[in-house]
Amino acid sequence: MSGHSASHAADAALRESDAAMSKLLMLMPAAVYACDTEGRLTFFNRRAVECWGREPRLGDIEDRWCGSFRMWRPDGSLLMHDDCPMVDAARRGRAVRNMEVVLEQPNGARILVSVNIDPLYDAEGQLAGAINVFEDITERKRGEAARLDSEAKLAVELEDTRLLQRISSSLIGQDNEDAPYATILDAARSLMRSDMASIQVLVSDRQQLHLLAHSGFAVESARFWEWVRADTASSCGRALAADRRVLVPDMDRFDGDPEEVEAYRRSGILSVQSTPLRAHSGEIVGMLSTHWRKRRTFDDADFRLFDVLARLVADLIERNAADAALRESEERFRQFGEASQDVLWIRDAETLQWTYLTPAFEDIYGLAREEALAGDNYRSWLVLILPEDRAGAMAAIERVRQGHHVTFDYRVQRPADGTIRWLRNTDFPIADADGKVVLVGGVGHDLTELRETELRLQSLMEGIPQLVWRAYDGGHWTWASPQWTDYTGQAAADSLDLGWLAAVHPEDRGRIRASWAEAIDRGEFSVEYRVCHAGEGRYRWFQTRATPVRDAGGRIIEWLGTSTDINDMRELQEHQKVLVAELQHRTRNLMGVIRSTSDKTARTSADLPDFHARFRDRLEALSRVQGLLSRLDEHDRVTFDELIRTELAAINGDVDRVTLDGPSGIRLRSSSVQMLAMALHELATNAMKYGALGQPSGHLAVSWSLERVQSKPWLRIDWRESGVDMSPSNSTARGTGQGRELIEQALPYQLGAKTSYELGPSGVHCVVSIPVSTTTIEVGAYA
Amino acid sequence: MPEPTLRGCRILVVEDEYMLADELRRELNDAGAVVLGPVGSVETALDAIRTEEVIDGAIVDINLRGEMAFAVADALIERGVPFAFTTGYDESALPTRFSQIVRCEKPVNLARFVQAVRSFVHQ
Repeated sequence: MSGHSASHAADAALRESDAAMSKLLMLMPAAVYACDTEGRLTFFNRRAVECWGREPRLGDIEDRWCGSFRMWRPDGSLLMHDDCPMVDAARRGRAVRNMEVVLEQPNGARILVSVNIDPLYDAEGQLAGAINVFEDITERKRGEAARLDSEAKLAVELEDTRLLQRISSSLIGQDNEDAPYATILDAARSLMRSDMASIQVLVSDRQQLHLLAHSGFAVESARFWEWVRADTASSCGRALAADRRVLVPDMDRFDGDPEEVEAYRRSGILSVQSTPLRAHSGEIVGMLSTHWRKRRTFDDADFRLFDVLARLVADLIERNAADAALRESEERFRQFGEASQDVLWIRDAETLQWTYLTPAFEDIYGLAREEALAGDNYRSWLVLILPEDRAGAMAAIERVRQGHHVTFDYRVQRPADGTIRWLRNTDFPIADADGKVVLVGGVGHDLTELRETELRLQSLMEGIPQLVWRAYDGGHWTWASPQWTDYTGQAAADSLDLGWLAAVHPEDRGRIRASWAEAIDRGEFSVEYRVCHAGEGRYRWFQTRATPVRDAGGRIIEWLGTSTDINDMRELQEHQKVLVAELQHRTRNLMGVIRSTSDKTARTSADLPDFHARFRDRLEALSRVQGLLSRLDEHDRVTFDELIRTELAAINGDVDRVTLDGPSGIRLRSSSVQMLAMALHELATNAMKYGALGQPSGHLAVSWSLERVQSKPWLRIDWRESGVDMSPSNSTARGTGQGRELIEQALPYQLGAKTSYELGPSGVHCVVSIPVSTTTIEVGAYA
Repeated sequence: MPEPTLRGCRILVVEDEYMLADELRRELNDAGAVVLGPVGSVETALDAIRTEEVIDGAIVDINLRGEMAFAVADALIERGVPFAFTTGYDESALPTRFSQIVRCEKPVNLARFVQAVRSFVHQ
């Protein structure tokens, strides 16, 4: 092959190659164009036309350096065609890599392109132009911007979430009352990008929100919002009233009252949101609000993390409230325990060791708690118990471990002074959630004083002279005192229920039943009945009273009764009744006698002075005999010698002219005394006035003796006057005959006496025989 | 002196106190009555009630020598004889079966007493 033809062949090959290259360039997806050193376009492909939005003409001087309508730099400044990087490449051989340029199409649309420019050289190595390969990166760039934006947001959310996580773990770790409000407020502000924040708790018994903490409020505003009621116009008040979140985007359009508006204005608040904090039950427990110094709009997305915070804070508040309640309850329990006079204790159900023991232990057991709790304290507790009570106490504790409530009594001996104390323990099981008994609780009550009081009461009840008993309604005895057993001879067991009625007089049983029937309504039982005395074998009267013992509700639990022996008193009362009746009878009879005497005296008196003297005389005689009678004891009797001496002494007779002869001590029936005395008085008066005692020579002999007539004792009285002038002139003077009437009529009538009355030649002779007292006892023989 | 309005009436007087019996007797006599007795004991009173052929009325002291005169009252009721009690006791001392019987409390007001006797004798 020749050189020429070889060159020719090479040219041909080149042309072929150029054509293929042009075709390739024309079809490639990137935009390509080229220009010469003068900027005249020498080549562009279809893609470049698409990007430019126009098709320039090759070599046209008007479209130098670039086929685009207009170009802009990324910073927005205009890029003139003559300043574009193709100029540097085509004239100075400077390549450009990945330069961004904004192409404006004739229709105004803009695209961002990335430009790569290389200079072109001819065969001689001289600069011949430049080639530009550019690519539409508008979409890619937009996606990238979006990605960058989204990455930034993600970073923020990540930060927020981390913040929440920190808050969350710090809140959960909180177990004191000083909740980390500042942290919460910071978190709220941070999550909501707000300028201020506040947290309030609902004080439920006041139905008001109490401001716990805030950040950023003016002092006056904070004071104003210290307490917020549901009916106030503030956002938190409205949120409480409406039971949902309240948003205030623009404070200028807020329709609160002026004070409210002023509170917001003072703190420079232009928008606010208040979100209720809810307990698990759904009830509002507080309010978390955030505030801005600018107006803003709200979006649900704004609250996504904030609501999580609100949830955490609500939990915190709820837990704090529960903790406070628990602490309060525990404190109260502790104070109860400290103050209790009973011993409270808690034992571990497994080891039976005390885990809790109140101070009352020391008083009752006489042992310091430290000592009591030392070592195996269950064992040392058992040692304090009297040996005979120990097994019972252990058995009781064992039953509690098995889940029973047990009350048991036992005695302890105090180590301090050796004294014995009676205790009553009420122990109970404390189970865990699974129902397993884990603790044994106990309340120990000191019964010692009660026991002693009981003993004293029992001695009292058994020592008093009454018969004491206890019964249910209707007289069903549950207990009888030993006195009852002693008195009736009835065995205690036989007296129970209605057994005691056997010792009661049959006639009285109906009355007893009637009294019980009305006892409940009257609230007392009171009846008198006879009870048989075992020793005497006879009934004696008892007054029985019972009062109900009631429970706190006023219901009758039982009756306490006493039966008092009133037999002697009843007899005395009966006797007194008889005596009073007798006294009345005698007094009224005496009045009758006095009236009758006055009538009789009046009928036989010469004139008023005569009546006066004689009536007074007779009244005095009656008085004397009443005097004698009234001095007597019940069983005493007036004796005849006493009567005759009293009567004779009363008339001031000359004792020398009187002879008395007879036994002393003859007892007169009381019913006889008055009439006999009256008769003797009349005889003595007559003797004084007209007979033996009134005349110097007269003599009176009174003799008496006890005789038996049909084996009954009679008193025979012989009244004999002697030495009396019985001349007719004298005898008329004694004609009134009162004495004689009494002797001859009254004594026989009233006393069943046998009498004689004679006027003998030397004076009166009178014999009276009357029945006298046969025994020393003549009760009620008055008349 | 009251009117002799009990003329011919036969009145039994039962009274153990002589002075009072005597006074009653006198009073009844003054009123024109025929006094039966007086008797001073339950026994003699019962005798009189048994043996007297005509008794128009009676006056009975409740306490006769310490003995209550209820047997006398019963006998009078049985015989259909109207009577009055004289007594120093109050009403409660009387058995209830005598609650309708006129009672003259001692000391007896004699005018009222005659009035009472007349009222029951003539009823």
